[in-house]
Amino acid sequence: MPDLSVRQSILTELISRVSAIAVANGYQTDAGLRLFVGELPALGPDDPDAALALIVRDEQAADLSGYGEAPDGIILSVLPVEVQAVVKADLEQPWVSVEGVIADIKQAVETNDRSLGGVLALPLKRGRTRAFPREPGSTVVGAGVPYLATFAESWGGGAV
Amino acid sequence: MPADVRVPFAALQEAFGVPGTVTIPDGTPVATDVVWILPSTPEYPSEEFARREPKRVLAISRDEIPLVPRGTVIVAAERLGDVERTWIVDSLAHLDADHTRVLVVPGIEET
Repeated sequence: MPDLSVRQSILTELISRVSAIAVANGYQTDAGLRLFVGELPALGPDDPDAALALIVRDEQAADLSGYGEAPDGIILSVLPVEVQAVVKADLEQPWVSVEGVIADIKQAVETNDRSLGGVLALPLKRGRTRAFPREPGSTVVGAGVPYLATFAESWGGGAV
Repeated sequence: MPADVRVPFAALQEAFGVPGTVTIPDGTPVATDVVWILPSTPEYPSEEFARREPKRVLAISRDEIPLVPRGTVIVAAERLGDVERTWIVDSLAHLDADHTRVLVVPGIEET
């Protein structure tokens, strides 16, 4: 079996962490029981009350390869990954539903291992958390917690 | 003679109304015929990852019920002959001369 790329390793570790979000595991919601990666379906009323999506955004790369005495060099990249959630709202206190899923995402992702299993060049960083309040006529709330994963790889995509 | 092209709400009630009971907060229940307006099915929240759900709009006679504040409870079937359900007024959708259109969400026991 071929080795995973650095990007694949990062996403695999994040998927593993957020998949654990379930009431049975001590979290406030069951959002991790339905996780979408690489697709963004519009869920319907018959789908689970809570779900997550891992959204991989455009990588920002500083290409330091091909220069000087070490032509292989390295490419230093920042990969933004946002964990978005949609959950059924408590209609009396929708903020409780929003904050519950935000807390779950942070608890699941932000473990003591900020290198995601040793693949990151810099500790995993959290970006600007967003809360999506309940809109008129809706029973849904949401949230987005973005992370920045900084990693180094060689020309060709191998780990360095 | 009608003053404009709008269909009087009483005619809409006659043609499309379903029996309902409307109770404003701290008020007494009022029996009336309410009219469901064609729903849309937008995505919530307005983000990349979302859920589609019906945006339900109910029209209520202003002559019979002049005020329909948020939190008003409406008991009505979605179609004539269906089981009655409880709906909560969530927001004003549209105010006309003779009727109020409100966004409703299912009552607690329905969610």
